[in-house]
Amino acid sequence: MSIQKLLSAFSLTDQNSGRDWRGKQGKSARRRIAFAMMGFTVAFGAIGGRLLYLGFTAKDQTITASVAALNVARPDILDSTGEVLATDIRISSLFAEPFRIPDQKDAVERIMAAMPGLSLEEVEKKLLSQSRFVWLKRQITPKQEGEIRALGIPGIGFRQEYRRVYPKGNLASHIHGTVNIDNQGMTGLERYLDNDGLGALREMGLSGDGLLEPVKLSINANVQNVVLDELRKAKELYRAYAAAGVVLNANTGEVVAMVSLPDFDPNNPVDINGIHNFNRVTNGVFEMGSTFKVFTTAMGLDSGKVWLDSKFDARAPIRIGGFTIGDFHGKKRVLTTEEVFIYSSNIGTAKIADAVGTEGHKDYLTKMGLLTRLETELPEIETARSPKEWKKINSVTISFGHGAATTPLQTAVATAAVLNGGKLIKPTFLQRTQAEADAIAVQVMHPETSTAMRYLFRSNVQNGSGKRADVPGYFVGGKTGTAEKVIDGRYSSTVRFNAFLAGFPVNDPQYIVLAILDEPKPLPGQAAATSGLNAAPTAGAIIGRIAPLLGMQPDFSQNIEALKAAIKRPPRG
Amino acid sequence: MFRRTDIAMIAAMIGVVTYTYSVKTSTKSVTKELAAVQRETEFELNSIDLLNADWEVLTAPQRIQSLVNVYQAELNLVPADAKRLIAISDIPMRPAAAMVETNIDEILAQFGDGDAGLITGSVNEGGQPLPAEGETTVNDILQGNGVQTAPVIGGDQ
Repeated sequence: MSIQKLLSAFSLTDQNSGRDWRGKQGKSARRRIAFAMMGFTVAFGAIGGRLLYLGFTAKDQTITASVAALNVARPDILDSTGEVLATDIRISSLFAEPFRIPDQKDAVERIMAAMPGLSLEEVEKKLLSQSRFVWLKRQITPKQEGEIRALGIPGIGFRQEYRRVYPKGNLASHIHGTVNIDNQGMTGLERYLDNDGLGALREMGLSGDGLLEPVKLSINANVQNVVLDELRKAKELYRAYAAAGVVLNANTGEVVAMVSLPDFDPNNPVDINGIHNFNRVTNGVFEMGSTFKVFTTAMGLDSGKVWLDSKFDARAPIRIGGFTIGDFHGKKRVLTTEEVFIYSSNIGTAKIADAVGTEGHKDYLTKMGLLTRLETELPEIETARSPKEWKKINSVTISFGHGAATTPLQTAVATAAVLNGGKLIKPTFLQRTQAEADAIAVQVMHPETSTAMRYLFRSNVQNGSGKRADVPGYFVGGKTGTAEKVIDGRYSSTVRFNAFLAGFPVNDPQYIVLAILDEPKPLPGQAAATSGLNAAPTAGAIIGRIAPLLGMQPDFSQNIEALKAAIKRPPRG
Repeated sequence: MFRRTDIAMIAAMIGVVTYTYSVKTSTKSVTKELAAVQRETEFELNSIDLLNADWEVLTAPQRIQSLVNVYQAELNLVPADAKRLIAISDIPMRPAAAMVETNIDEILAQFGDGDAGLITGSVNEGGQPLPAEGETTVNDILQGNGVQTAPVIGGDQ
C-alpha cells in the first residue's frame, strides 16, 4: 500500500463515497473500516496492557506522600518497666499563603483571636504582604490547631513535623538528654542514639514511621523519682549547692537511677551549657574524700600484707614533704584495720597504703578503673584526674581521697566490684542480663576480700559514722565521706563535698547507692556538716523507699556476726 | 445487514464508553473517600500518640507523688514500712471458728443506700486544693510550661 493510499484511507472528505458499497468504492471502504478497527484494537490493547501492568506492579504512593513530615521520627525511650521517658508526637506548624487569602485584614483579626500569643505587628506584616509563603508559627499545640482549623480561612495551612516530648519532665533529664528543633540528639542518650546508627539511617532516609523499635533503659522511673525527691529535700534541708545520686545494680552494672541537681526541663532546655545541664554523676570529677578509703582498705586486704586485725599506730600525725596528716576525730591510739575503717582514720589509711607501696597503689586503682575514663553510653563523660608521677605524698593523700578525682559513677562502679565478690562490671544505661554482665566482668580482687569488705561496710553503719543510713530489714552497709573542697587553691575546712556510699543488703549486695551533697551547711544545733549527719540519712531515706520498689523482701534475720563468720583470709600473694 | 452490525457496534461502543465513564467516576469518588479515610487515620494516629503522651504525663511518678502529698492526711497514706512487708506464706491461716459466711449484699448493705457516705476523688469535702485545676498536660509542655508538679527547691548559686 502506497503512502498515497494510506492517506486517502484516513481522509475525512470521502470523495469515493457512493451508494454502491459492493463496487470498487465499497471494497476500499471496507478496507478503511478494517484498518480503523485494527488501529483501535492496537490502541486499546496497549492501554489495557498498561493498565494490567500497573495493576500488578505499581504501588499506591499517596499514603506516604500525605504524612511526609519535615523532620524525622526518633524511637521512644522507655524505662525498665515500660514507662515512656521520651516520645514523638506529630505536631503542626502554621503557615500562610497571603496571596490566596481573600480578606487579609479579617484573617489577621481572627488568627490573633485564636492565638493571642503571636505579635500583632508580625502577623500583620506577614499576612498583608503579597508573599507566596510565610511561616506564622512553628510547632503549635493540637488545641491551637483545632481552633485555627475551625476558623476555616483559605490560604492558611498546616504542615506536620515531629516534636520530641518528655512526659516525665525533669525526672531523668540528664539521662535521656535533649534534642534540637530538628529532632537531632544533642545531649545524653538522645545523642548516643544518633551516633549509634540512627544518624546513618537518617542519611539513608530510612527512619520512616513505625520502623523504630523503642529503646529500653535500665532506669526505673519510680526509683529515679525517689532519688530525685530525697535529694531535692536534702538539698533544701542542708542548703547544699548541688546534689547528686546514683543507684547501681551491683551484679549487672545497670544504672537504675541517676540524678544530678540542679536539673532542667528537657521540654524547654534553656541553656544547654549552663549549670543545670551539668551532669555531676558522669561529667564532674571530685575528690571523693573518705569514701576512697574503701579502695585503700580493700587493696590492703587483697594484697595479703594487711588483715582485719593488723595494727596501725594512729597516735601521732604523719609528717611528709612539709604536710601534716592528722585525723578528724583522732582516737590517739593504736587502731586495727577495722577501727581505721569505721573511725575513718587518715593516719591509719595512709599506713595501709604505705604497706602496699606507691606503685602497687597506683596499679591497684588503675585496675579498679579509677584513674581512667569510664566509658558508658552517655557522651558526657569526664576523665578521672590523678598525678602523672606518683610520689609517696601522692599515694598518702590519695589513700584517703585527696589528690585524685573521679566521677561519682566511677566510684560507685568500683564499689560494686568491692562488694559483689570482686567483679568489675562496666556500667550501662541500657538493659543487660546477668549472663551478659558475667561475660564482660573482670575479676579484680579475691572474693574473700569482698566478704571482708561487706563486714566492714556493715560495721561502719552499725558502730561507726554511718549509723543514720541504717534501714531495718534491708541490712545496709556503707561508708561516709567528708571531703574538704579546694577554695582559692587551699583546702577549706568549712566548704565540703559529702558523700555516702552504700550497698544493700550487704550480706549479698544487690544495689549500690551513692548520695552526694555538695557544700551542705550544718543544721541548727549541729557543729559541722559532716557526711554522717547529712549524706548518710539521705542515702538511708533513699534505700528505705526504693527497696520495696525494687521488689526486695525485708529480712530481719541478718546480723553482723554471720557476716564476720563468713570471712576467710585470701591466699597471700 | 451491514446496518445491523453498525448498530450493534455503536451500541457496544456506547456501552463501553458508559462503563469506562462509570469506572472513572467511581474511581474518583473512591480516591476521595480513601484520602478522607487516610486523613482521618492520620488524625486518629496523632491523637493516639498525643493521648499516650498525656497519659504518661498524668502517670508520671512525680505527679503521683504530688497527689499523694495532697491527699496524705485524708487517705492516711504513709510509706510502707519494711516491717509490714511479708511473704504470703508467712501469713497464718485464719482460725476456722472465725470464718463467717458472707455475701456481697451484706457487705454492700453496710454502706447504706446510695453513696452519700462515700467520698470519692471528685468530691472535695476536705477543702483541699484539687490538683485537677491547672493540671499540666502535653499542651502545656508544648507551650513551654514544665511538667514539674513538685516545687523546685533551693536556689542555685
